[in-house]
Formats: sequence, C-alpha cells, structure tokens
Amino acid sequence: MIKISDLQKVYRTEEVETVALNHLSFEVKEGEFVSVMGPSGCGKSTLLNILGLLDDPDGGSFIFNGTEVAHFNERKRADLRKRNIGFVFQSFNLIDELTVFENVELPLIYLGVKGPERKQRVEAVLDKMQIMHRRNHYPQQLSGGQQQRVAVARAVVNNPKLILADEPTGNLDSSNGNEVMQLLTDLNEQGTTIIMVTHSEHDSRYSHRIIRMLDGQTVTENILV
Amino acid sequence: MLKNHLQLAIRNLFKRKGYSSLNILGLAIGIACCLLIFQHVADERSYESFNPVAGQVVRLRLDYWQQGKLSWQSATVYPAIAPTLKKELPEVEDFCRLIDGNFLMANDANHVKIKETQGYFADPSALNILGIRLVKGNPASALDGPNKILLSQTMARKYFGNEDPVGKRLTVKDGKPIYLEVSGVYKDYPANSHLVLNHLISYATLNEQIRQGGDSSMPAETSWGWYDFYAYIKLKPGADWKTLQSKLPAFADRHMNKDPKNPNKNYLFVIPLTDIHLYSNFNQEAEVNGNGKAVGFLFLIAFFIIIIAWVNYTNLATSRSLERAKEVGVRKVLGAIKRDLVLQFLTESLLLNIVSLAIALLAAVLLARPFNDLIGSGQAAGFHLPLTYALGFAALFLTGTFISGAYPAFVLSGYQPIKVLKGMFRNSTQGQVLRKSLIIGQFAVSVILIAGTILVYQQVQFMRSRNLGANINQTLVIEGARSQQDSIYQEAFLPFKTELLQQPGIRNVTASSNVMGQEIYWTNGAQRLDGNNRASTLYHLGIDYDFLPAYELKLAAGRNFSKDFSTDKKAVLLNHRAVQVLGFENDADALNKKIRHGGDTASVIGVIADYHHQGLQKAIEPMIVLLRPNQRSYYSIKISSSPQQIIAAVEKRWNKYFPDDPFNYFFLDESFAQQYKADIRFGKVFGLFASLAILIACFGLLGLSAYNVLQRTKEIGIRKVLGASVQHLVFTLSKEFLYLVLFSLIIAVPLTWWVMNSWLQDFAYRISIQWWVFAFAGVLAVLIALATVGFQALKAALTNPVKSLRTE
Repeated sequence: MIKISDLQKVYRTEEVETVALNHLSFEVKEGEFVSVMGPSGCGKSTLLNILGLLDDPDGGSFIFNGTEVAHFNERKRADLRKRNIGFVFQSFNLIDELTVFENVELPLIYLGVKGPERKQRVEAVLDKMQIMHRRNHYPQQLSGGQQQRVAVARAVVNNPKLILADEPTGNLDSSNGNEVMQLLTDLNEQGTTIIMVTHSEHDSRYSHRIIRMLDGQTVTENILV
Repeated sequence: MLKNHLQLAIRNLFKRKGYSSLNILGLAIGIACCLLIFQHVADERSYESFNPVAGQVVRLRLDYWQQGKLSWQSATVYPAIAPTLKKELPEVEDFCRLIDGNFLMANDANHVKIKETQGYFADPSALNILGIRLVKGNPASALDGPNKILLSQTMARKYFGNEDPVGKRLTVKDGKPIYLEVSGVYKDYPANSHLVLNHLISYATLNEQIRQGGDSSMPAETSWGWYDFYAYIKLKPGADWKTLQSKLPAFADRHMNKDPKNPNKNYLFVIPLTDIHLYSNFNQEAEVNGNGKAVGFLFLIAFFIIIIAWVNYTNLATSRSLERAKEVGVRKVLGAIKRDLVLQFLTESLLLNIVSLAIALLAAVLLARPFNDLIGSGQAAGFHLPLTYALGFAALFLTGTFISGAYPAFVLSGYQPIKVLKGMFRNSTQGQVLRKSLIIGQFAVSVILIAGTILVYQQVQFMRSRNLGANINQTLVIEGARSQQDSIYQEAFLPFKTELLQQPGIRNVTASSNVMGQEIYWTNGAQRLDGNNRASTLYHLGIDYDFLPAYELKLAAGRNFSKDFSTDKKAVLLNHRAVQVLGFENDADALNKKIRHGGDTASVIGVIADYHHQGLQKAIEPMIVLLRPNQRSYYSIKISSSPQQIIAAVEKRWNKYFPDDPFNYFFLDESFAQQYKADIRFGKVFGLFASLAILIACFGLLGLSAYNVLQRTKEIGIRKVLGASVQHLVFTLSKEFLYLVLFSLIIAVPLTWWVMNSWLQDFAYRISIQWWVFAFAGVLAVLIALATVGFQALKAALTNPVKSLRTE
C-alpha cells in the first residue's frame, strides 16, 4: 500500500541544516499495523507528516496505492488525504467550538457527503466507539479517554484505508490508553492499515511490526506477529 | 457547508463574549455614525431637488472691483442684467428676479396683522423657474400685473383661517397703505431650498410703487447700479451653464464696464441652483446657507470612523490567529482546502458585521432626532436615507466587511497544518507590522480629531471673547415701528423715547438703520472731493445722536453728531477702515474733508475707531455713518436691571404709541452670538465624533492588549519569579503600545495643521495654531491608551506567578 524509497527531508535555517530523513526506505502492506519508534528528533514525526501528505519530501519516492504522490500539489494532496487517510493525534486536536457529533461529522462535510447520510454514518461510528450518549457534548466536557475516542471516531468516519496515529496514548492514563489501543487494534482487524508513532513499548506491542529509527534512518525492524 | 459555517460563526460569537462585544460595539458605533452622517450629507445635498427644472437654473452673482481690489461679492445683482441676458444670449430661455418684499401686512377683515420677513417681489416666471406649485389660482396670471400677492398655504391660513383667500385683500401697512389682491395659494415651499418663500408679490407692484413715489425711470427694470435683486436664469434644454459663464465677461464689458478709464469693474458669475445652498456664501444671501466644507469634513469623518471600526475587527481577528491556528490545522488535516476556510472566516466576519449593522440601524433610528438637533439640520423626520445613499452605504458596508474579513481569513487559512499542530507556529512578523500600522493609523486619526476639536473651540472662544469695539451687552433691540407715516412718526417716537428714559433701569435709547450682527445691505459709492478723487463703496449706517454713546463706540478723531450743530445734517462719520480705503493719511486727515455719497455732499466730522459690526468671520468693512434721527429699523434700549420687568414696561409704552405695530424684540448679545452658531455646532460635532473615534480605537487597543497579556502570561510569571516589580511589568507590557501612539503623533501633527489651517482661512479674524494643542492632544491620546493598556497590564502583573506559570 505504501512504498517509500530513498526518502529525504532536510530542514534548513540560515545557519543550521538538519537532516530529518536520510535516504529512508520501507514498505507497508495493506492491513498491516506498524509502529514507528525512536528517540526525539529521529525523524518519526517528519515521516508521519510525509506519509499523511501534510509535508513534501525533498527527495526520493513515495508511492501510495500504486501512485507516485511525492510531488502532488496542495490541492491534490488534500483530496487524496480526505478520501484515504485518518489522523489520530496525541493532543486529540478536537475543535473546541464543535460538539462531539460535529467534530466527527467534519471530514464527511469536506468530502461532500449529503446531510442524511452524514448523520447516519456519524451515529454509526459514535455508537461503535460507545460515545453516542455524548454526541451533543463539547470536547472540554469530556475526559481525555473520551476525547481520544472521539478523535478516533473522526479518523475512521470516512472509512480511510490508512490511519496515522501520532502517540495516540501520550496524553492518557494507562486504562484509557489501553482502551484506545484496543480500538485501533479492532479497526486494524477490520482491514484498516495503521501506522503509529509511539514512545511506548507497551503500545508498540499491539502492532505487527516495529520500525526503529535513528537520525533519519531505519535501524531495525522487528516483526512481532 | 454554509450551515456549518454559520453555526460555528454564531457559536464563536457567543463563546468569546468579551471579544465579540468589543467588536460589535465598535462596529455598531462606527456604522451608526456613518449612517447618521450619510443622512445629513444626503439632506444637505438634496437642496432644490424638488424643483423639476433645477438642473436648468443658475443664479447670477456680482463681483465689484475698485482700483484693482475686490470690494464685494454679492448674491444680488442689478435688475437690468437678466432681461438683457435673455435678449442677447441664445442659451437663456427665461429669467426671474426676486427682491425683498417684506412689510407689516394685515387682513383688516380678520384683524390679523403680521410683520413679514420672508417674502419677495417676483417676476411671473418665478413660478416655473423656482418650482412653485400653485394649489389655487391661475399660474398664467397669478403674478401678472400690479397689486397681486401669492401666499403659501401656511401664510394663507394665518391671514384667512379656513376661508378661501383667492380674490380677497391684504393691506401693506408700512407708511401709505397698499392693497394687494390674493391671486393664488401655493404649496408651502420645501425646507430644502436656499429660499424661504412665504409670499410673492407681483413684480409689477414694485414698479407701480416706485412710479407712484415720483420716479418714472422704472429703475427696477432698467437700473445698472441698484444691486438688490436675485436673478435666476433658466437655460434652454441642453445648454451648459459653463458656456453662459464664458460669455459673461464680454457681456459685463459691453454693459457695465463701458468706460475703460473707470477703475471700478463689475464681473458676473453664475452658480447652479443646486450648488447655492452649500457653495454660495456672499453678501446679501437670502438665507444663511450651508457649508459645503463642513459637510465635506463630516463625510470624511464618517469614513474615518467606520474604517477605524473595521481596522479594529481586522486587528482583533488577526491577533487571535494563534487561538484559531489549531482549528485551521485540524480542518486542513481533515481535508479542508483554503477556499473552505476563507469562506468560513468570511462568514464569521459577515455575521459580526450584520449584527453590528442591526444594532447600528436601531441606534440611528433612535438617535436621528437628537443628532439632527445637534448638527442643526432642519430635518424633523426620523432616520431616512435616499435610495442612492442607501445603495452607496450598502456597497461601502459590503466592501468594508469583505476587506476587513478577508485579511484575517487569508492569513488564517494560509497556515501550515503541521506547524500549527506541532506548536511550531508563531504569529508572523508581517502580521504584527500590519497590526502596528493599523493602530498607528487609528490613533493618528484620533489625535487629528482631538486637536481639531480643540482648535474649533479655541476659534469660537476667540470670536466670542474678543473685544468688538462696541458694547452689545444688556441691549434690548425692538424692531422699528413702520406703520406710521413719516410726517407723524416723530410725534410718536419722541414721547415714547422720553417715557422710556424715565423708566428706572433704562440707560439709553437709540434708533438706527442696523444693529451689530446684522449684515448691512445699504451700500453706495462715496468719493472724496478734496482734490484726491479716490472713491469706494461704503457700507451705510443711519443713526441718531445717541447711538455712539449707547454702544460705547470710540471716536478716533473728531466728534459725534450733535444737536448743537445744525450743519450736522450734512455731516458724516467714517470708520477707520473707510479712512484707509479712501486714502486719507490718517484719521485726523479725514476731518472736515468733503465727500460725495449717494448724490449728497457732506463733510467728515468724526472718525469712529473700527468695531466689529458683524462676527469675526467677516472683515471690518469701510463704513459711512449718517445722521438719521428718523431712522426706524431698530431701537436699541440699553438696560441695567432685570430684563423681564423692562420688557413689560417697554411693551406697555409701545402699545400706547405704536398700537398698529407688532412688538418684536431680541437681545443683541444673543442675536450676535447666532453668527457663531454654525461654528459652535461644528465644534460639537467634531468633539462628538472625536470622542467616538477614540472610543472605538480604545476598544481595539483593549482587545489587543488583553490578548497580548494573555500570550505573555508565562513571560510575566517568569519575570515575577525573577523579581520584576509591578511597575516594571506594567511598563514592559504597555511600552510597545505607547510607542505606537507616540508614532501616530508624528503623522497626525502635520495633517492636523494642514486641515485646520484650511478651515481657519474662512475667518477674517482667527487664532494662530499653537504647538501646545498638539502636545495636549498627544498627551491625551497617550493617557487614554495608557489607561486602556495599563489596566490589562496591571491585572496581569498583580496575578500570582504560580498561577500564570501553571497555565502553560
């Protein structure tokens, strides 16, 4: 599903040049659950941004579902992103002014899904995430675990082929963290590909494979399953 | 999608109540000011619009030059000009002339007697040219032939009640009675005209009266020297007034400047009828006209204020970009493209502006009357806006809403999601430069308005407090008795005056042709007869023996008129200005010199030190003062005790000696101050809008500083932990804004100087602009800004640092 080869990303300021990705190559197959681990500054977030089509690589190739997307323009990237990729962030990134229902509904609005269908799909996903009873609450009225469940609901409501999760349990206690990891596992079992950046060895054990990074390169790959 | 945008916009409005209130209040005040000013400007520019032929009509104006210097400019001209123009120039379709036709008038049958003040003798064509609508009578013959009078509906009711006045008789009671037949009634002449027309007497009546007075030369038709006639010219359809104007110099040379050796020249000009109200301010105007410059200033202020309000919106919206950045990032990650986000932010801007507009409209409706009173607009009706102005405002509103909303919308929607979501985002320096420039602009406008207000007040104060050279205080002026014939007038006036002088509290009684504060229309040429033939137009004042002492006028040379000198009937006084224009070496040099004036020869027995006969807007004119003990335009009564008792006593004697004349009186100081009314109003309006502009600018500053403090919470905490004092923190947080306000002064000072200097040019006697006005305006702006920003800073500085650090 994803094939990156020789991927490079360099951040430059006037005085300093930081190599974030250094000729990185790997492949993720459809239905896989992959963890990316490594110390701070090793390039995991840069990788996730490029995989999420939020950033451009400086060099190399990125093939998504058989299409070279490395040099897509902003508009094409946005289009590809909203149809295929869901995001889960460490800090949830829910919009405070929108209710649970509206937050989850947002990707469908940008996809142009009609009102009645949106309602049906949002309700279905909220039901599945067991937060239907909170549908009219605002994010600040929810616990961290509930907020992340809403974020996951939002990530999956448009049935993406890929979920990118950036330390999804980083802001949660262990019990809420486990719940979220279980949700991701369930989604993966239903066929969604998941790539998760994490610092947590515990969380990484939910995945099939761990890619360990250092200084913008892959150092090891452990296959868990 | 739109529903979603709208829903979110509404929620944002309610969620950030403080922010929304600042924005809405500022915008609502700005829009309301703009609406009210638009209405006023629309009213002022609507003059004569009721007249279907207004676009074809111009009025003539006469400039008179003596010895290469402009002597006077008059809204009235010689009566022979208009008919000659019609004969000679193909552009002219028709003309009409008006001349003052005000008398003590009576309907003897109903015992109604009123001293009229706003009527004219008029050519028959006046009905068409001035757009007068007859409701009774035949327009073809209503002003044709002598002794006919047309009345406005209000006038008709005053004299005849509900009777049909047509065919009935009114009597002019000034001197020998003149009987006028009411030939028709017209719809009250609209208030938005430069003329007030309460009645029109046929022009033939004027000719007839002059003929009966023994002058058969028909001067009201043929004179090229009597310049008391308003002349309106109706152009042929398609003719351009500029073409007519271009032919007038040659016309003037043909008829009025025939003698090339004569150093005095006449020049004719035309002014379109629709421009008279705002742009004509010459001698002998029919009414006090509006001031085009003041209207222009107001229009500019309207734009300033609404722009300040929009600038606030832009400023506050972009300053909150950090807060909105996360939302933008999330939306972009979820698939929103730039267009979606721009639309979303524009929807918010539109909603905020529409809410403000609704409040502003309500305020405009509620405040229309007090506002109209304040600016002295004659409009009694509530808020209304003609269609063109409404459309203009709508266009301005939509443009302003779009531009003020577009900048933040484009800035916000341009954020890179990965940066904002990873906390790598900082407010751009470009945005800060813009915000700072906008604050500087706002405060520059505020300083201009504050300094402008101070200067307007200073000028008004200067005019009111300056020594006029005449004492006009405690002076009760009665409009003279006009019903008695000359032969018996003194028999009534002398005992009347004697009895008044016996009344305790009355110091002096004097009769004159004019009093201070009234424009002198009596002018004539005067020429020296002492070998030097210098001549000039002089303003004539007829007085009795007591006028000079009563008004405490000083003699610069010579003496006052005296009963001891029987020759004084052939003597005149000049003022110092007249001595100058006639070219005497000094005041004493003029004494005993012979002067010819209006066909008489007289010797100068005294020179009056210059005094301000009119307000300080006007220069002191050269005056010649004649002894006219029978003068009966005004009686000035100098009093020294309670006016109420004196008025009652005077009225009692008035009714005894002048039973046929109405008792009309006024206090001279109040009437004199009327000349400054327009300027006082202008000052008030300036002051009001200056305050509002500053208020709106402060809303913006308050919002920005509050946000600034919020952003720097952590910094404040760290500084406190490290030992910063409260004063130091307040200074640190406020100084940035204070620098901006100080910078705004640099822009404001030269601009204010330029604008106000141009305004002051309208005053013959004016203040010089002092440096401290700018210093004061600047200090005031700085203090206001300091109070606004300092409050926020103090609040932050007093917060427990543990709390501020915990918020991070």
